[in-house]
Amino acid sequence: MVNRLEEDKILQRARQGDRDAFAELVKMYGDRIYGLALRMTGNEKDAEDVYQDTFLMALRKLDQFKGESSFFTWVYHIAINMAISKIKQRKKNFSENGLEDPDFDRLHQEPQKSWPDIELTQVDRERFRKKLSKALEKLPEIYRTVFILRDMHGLSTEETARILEITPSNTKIRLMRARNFLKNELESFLKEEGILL
Amino acid sequence: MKGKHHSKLLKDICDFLGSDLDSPPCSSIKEHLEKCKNCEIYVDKLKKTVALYRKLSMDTKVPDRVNRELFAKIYFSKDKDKGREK
Ligand SMILES: [Zn+2]
Repeated sequence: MVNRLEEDKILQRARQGDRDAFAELVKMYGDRIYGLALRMTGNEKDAEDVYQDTFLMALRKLDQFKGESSFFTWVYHIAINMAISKIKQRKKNFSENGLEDPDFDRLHQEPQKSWPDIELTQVDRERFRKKLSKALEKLPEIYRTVFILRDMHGLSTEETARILEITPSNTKIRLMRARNFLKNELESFLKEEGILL
Repeated sequence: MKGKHHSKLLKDICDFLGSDLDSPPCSSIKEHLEKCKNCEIYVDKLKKTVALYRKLSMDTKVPDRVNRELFAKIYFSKDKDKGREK
């Protein structure tokens, strides 16, 4: 990881047309951008397109980047918009399917059983990964995006809200419902696997 | 626990469940979570779910081929710029 000062220097060189400097920036943030693209689009082909187009657009628009946010946030924003338009292109039902709130009444009616610590390796690793990805894909896009940014990529509520142009409280509600949904999906999978009784 | 107090508490818990789960909850939720085994277990399950997804995301690397293609395009655009300057 380089600090902000070093990053500024690299940025300055990149702005002056130094392609090596720009390549540095790609190397610094590439994996995170690709990971985002892969989760949001749900397939490698689209993820590649989003990833490459994002950095090529960033390169073209580099002189428009004024440094109000960090470079990463700026590129991230481009990637999210690219991914969203990709999803919209291919999906007929880009709908705002409602997800339910956690059922607190039920939660308090019967004693809950806790989970043991779970490792990806507990089920055949590839199968577990696929299951997690599938569950994520089942989430309506507006919830999935929030979950990806907040929980998988560690952005703050405020940052996520800004990027998606929604309010922080809306961000929290979406995140809560997404987490609850994924927890339920995971729970039934773990039961199928005999890891939970 | 019924009525206004309960629904306010529920709202606060929901708010907490949409925040960083390790961040300190406000005192009324904290009090409830400490007393209520079910809620404590529920929060723990959410934490474990999130942790698994984090592991999943940290594993992701750009395939080498994809990066090679991208770098080729990046350097190619430089040549195009040069071409235009002439
Ligand atoms: Zn409770």
